[in-house]
Amino acid sequence: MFESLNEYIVALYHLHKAQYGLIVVTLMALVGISVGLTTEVVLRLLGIRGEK
Amino acid sequence: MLHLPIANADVNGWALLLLGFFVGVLGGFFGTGGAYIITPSLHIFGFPMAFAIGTDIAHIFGKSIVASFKHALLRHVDFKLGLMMGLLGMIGVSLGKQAILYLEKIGQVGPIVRIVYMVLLFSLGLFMLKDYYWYSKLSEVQKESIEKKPSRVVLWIRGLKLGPYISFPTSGVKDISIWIVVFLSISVGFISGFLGVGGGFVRVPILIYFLGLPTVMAVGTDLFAILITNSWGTYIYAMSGKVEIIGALVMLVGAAVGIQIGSAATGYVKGMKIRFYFGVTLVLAGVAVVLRHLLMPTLAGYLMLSSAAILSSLIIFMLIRAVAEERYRSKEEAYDKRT
Repeated sequence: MFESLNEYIVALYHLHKAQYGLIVVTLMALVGISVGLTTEVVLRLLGIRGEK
Repeated sequence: MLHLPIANADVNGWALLLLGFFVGVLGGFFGTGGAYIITPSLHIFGFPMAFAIGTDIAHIFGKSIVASFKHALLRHVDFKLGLMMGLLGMIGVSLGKQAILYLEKIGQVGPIVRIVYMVLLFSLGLFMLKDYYWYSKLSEVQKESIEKKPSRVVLWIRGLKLGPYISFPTSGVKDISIWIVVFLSISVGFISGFLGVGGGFVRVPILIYFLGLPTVMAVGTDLFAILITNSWGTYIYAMSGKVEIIGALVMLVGAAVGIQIGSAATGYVKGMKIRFYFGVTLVLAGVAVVLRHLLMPTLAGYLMLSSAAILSSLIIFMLIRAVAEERYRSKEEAYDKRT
């Protein structure tokens, strides 16, 4: 799976650099938000709200 | 082992995940991106230097979104000030890059950048440690009031008669000369561009000691400013092919978890204690730069990596202890009410 993903990334980068830049920015934002929100939910379930 | 197609390197995925997590905890707690830890560490893991910087910037962008959101929930972000510092900082970054290009032309870039880096890390770190030492000598009553009382520098800056003026009600900064904010923002941006780092380690002390922001507010506002500057940084580094997307994503997963934990910890730890640990981190980073200057880059990287692991474990420990104490207190209160 990783090999085909790697090939796709390299092909995309060589095909359209600006588009690759936008994909990186979007992907970072999406992954960051989704992992962050999941962690927030887990922390709240554990009673760690950070508000004092 | 993960194969990174653009950098053409093989790295351990778990090591990347852990590195992201540790630096994420520190980032959420101190308000820094952690480039001074990640870039040398990635280099040790086998990333070529340019890819280490690009991948680091991309993952910092992702985690700064999470951190800004978390600090905004905690009401630790002054969006107006963060936006101004972030946007004006970009002008400074361009000026910093011009200075680097000039130094490169005269063949002096390496030593000068390292010396400026060392001076900044040691002076800021030692100043914060001295500040904490002075604070630790005070009585409990004095400690309570000291953080709310603005310093002489802050009073002088706030009293400057140089219009137009601007207020930041969220941070409690009223009618300050706009030129001060412009100057400080561009200066931080300049240092950022000059040293090739996010600038958080300079911006946080400036917000505390020059504008008089409470420590947690400085941390949150800085993370928001990092979000603005790094969104552009990620795009241009990705376009030039210097972002290893898989590596950045793996680090981001660890960092997004870590930064939430670090941000939550700021709600339980006193501002002065945050300054103390920040000072320790800066001095250690300074030692790492000295080691790199003495041609011991691997040792420098390991020093930063191990100190990041130890400090973030300490932060997690403080958070767990504070939460346990809070639970114990609320149980006691409930018991008192019943009896």
